[in-house]
Amino acid sequence: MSNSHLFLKPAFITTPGQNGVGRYFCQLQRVVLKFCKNNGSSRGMREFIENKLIDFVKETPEVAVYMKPRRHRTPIIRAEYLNGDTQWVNARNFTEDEILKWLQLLKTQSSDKTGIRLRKLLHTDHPSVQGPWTPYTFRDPKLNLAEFPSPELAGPHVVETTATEELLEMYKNQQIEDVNEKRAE
Amino acid sequence: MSALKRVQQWATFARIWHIYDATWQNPFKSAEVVKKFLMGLYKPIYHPLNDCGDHVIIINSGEIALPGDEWKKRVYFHHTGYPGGASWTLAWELHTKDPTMILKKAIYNSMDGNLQRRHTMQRLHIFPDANVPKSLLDNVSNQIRQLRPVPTRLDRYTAEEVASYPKLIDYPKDYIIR
Amino acid sequence: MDNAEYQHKVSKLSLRNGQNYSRSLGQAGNLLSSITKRYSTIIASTPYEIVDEDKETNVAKDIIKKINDQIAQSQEGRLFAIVHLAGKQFRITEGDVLVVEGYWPPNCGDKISLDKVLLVGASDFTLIGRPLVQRGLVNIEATVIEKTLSHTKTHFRKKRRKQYKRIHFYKIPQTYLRINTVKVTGELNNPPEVRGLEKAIF
Repeated sequence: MSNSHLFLKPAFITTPGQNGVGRYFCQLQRVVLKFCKNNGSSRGMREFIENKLIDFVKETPEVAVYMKPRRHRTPIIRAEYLNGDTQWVNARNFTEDEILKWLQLLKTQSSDKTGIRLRKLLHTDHPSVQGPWTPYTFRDPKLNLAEFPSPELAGPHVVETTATEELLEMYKNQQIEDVNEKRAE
Repeated sequence: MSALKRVQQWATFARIWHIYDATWQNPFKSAEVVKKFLMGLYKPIYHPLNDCGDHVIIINSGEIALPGDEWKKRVYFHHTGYPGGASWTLAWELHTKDPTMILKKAIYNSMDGNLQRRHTMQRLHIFPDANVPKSLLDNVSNQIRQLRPVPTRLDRYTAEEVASYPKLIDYPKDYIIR
Repeated sequence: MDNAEYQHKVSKLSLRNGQNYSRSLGQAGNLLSSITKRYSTIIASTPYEIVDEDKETNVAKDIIKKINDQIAQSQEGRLFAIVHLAGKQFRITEGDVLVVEGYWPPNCGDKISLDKVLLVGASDFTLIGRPLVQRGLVNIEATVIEKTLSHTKTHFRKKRRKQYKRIHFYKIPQTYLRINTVKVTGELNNPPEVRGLEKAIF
């Protein structure tokens, strides 16, 4: 019924170069801003380059920003990551704030994740600390000596005593008390 | 797979043989308990594709107790596929013909009707009495507890138990026992 | 036996039983309200038990001392913890990566300490919190590695035979967290003081 399996590949979490174990480093290598000097669709891009680009570059010195003026073409943001992945965003008719938001998103990503569905939200290299479960963890050791079928293990976990058993108990307690009284005398 | 990991895999996916005594138990409620062990649902490693089901041996299936009128009124329908091949069998009739069928059908019908069901049922071994082949009994390492306590029959008490039980009431002195 | 003696015996029996019953019913009432039905268990009055309180406290002290010794000599090994984060619970160890879905303010490169710890386990012991483990006892540090958007998810609505159909495409912000340390600091029942958690809601 659904065709998402054709364009969405399921994958587990991957982190390039064990990012975060030691120091965190930005995964974005370079950004290319392509824009037209004249066309109205590039207006936001041109304004961004004028006003906000320098602050962005100062904040992220590890990213190389290239600018490519291309006449009569739509503005594009193209990002290349440390693992070789590329991603391009069509910036046609974007405002300068939108372009800044996209750049900040690209800065925090490590690769293009649009065609990947995460199978699990957790990744461990050590799934078991106390040892993986076997049918013998939490097993009552008295089962090792039992012979099956065993009448003691067959009955339910009865916490309620029957009237018969209670009467027997009362009678036995009474007998014990009688004996104790006689001893006291 | 390294030798250590292979042993770990073998330990975690070990198949356990359980035994269950069905004397005087409700087969339909027992089915709900037994199917959990058959399918491996009690295991934290459970997954339908994991093949983690265990074997269950059920003894004394000839002694099961159906609730209320069910012996007289529960009907098992079977159609051979041929015209005029419909048959309606009452529970007591089926039980006399084959004392394991009622429990087997109860467990089969308590499971979801998926493709694992027939494979899981192959791991179920039902015996009408307590005679189980020794080769199967030797594998058993766990007993599934019954659901209802089985009281001792009044004619099965030993003479010593009867004699040592406290007497609560007695006939009045002027009562004449006929 | 005589009638009179029998009556005496029966009354003697009932008196004794009455005393036991009043005590056991009280406990049974609490039991019944708190226990849930399990397979093949029949719940009713409490069974008889001999409870030695001194012995139990000594055993507890023994165990706590052993755990403290292990921690002092840092011989507990790898620890795992169950942590409550953004409304969900995760089982984490050192070095694993977590994804938090939805709006989450921390930025890339931020160091975060996770304080809502429900359970800590080592290979020899487990500390179960009720519901949380003691404040300051467990030190869990994490770094934010990545902030991305998920794959495009679709919310499809249709009303049949009414010519109404809408597809909503959306992407959830995701934050990748790398767990740097899971450690037990200090002693049990004597954890180091933690500052800065006064405004936190646990």
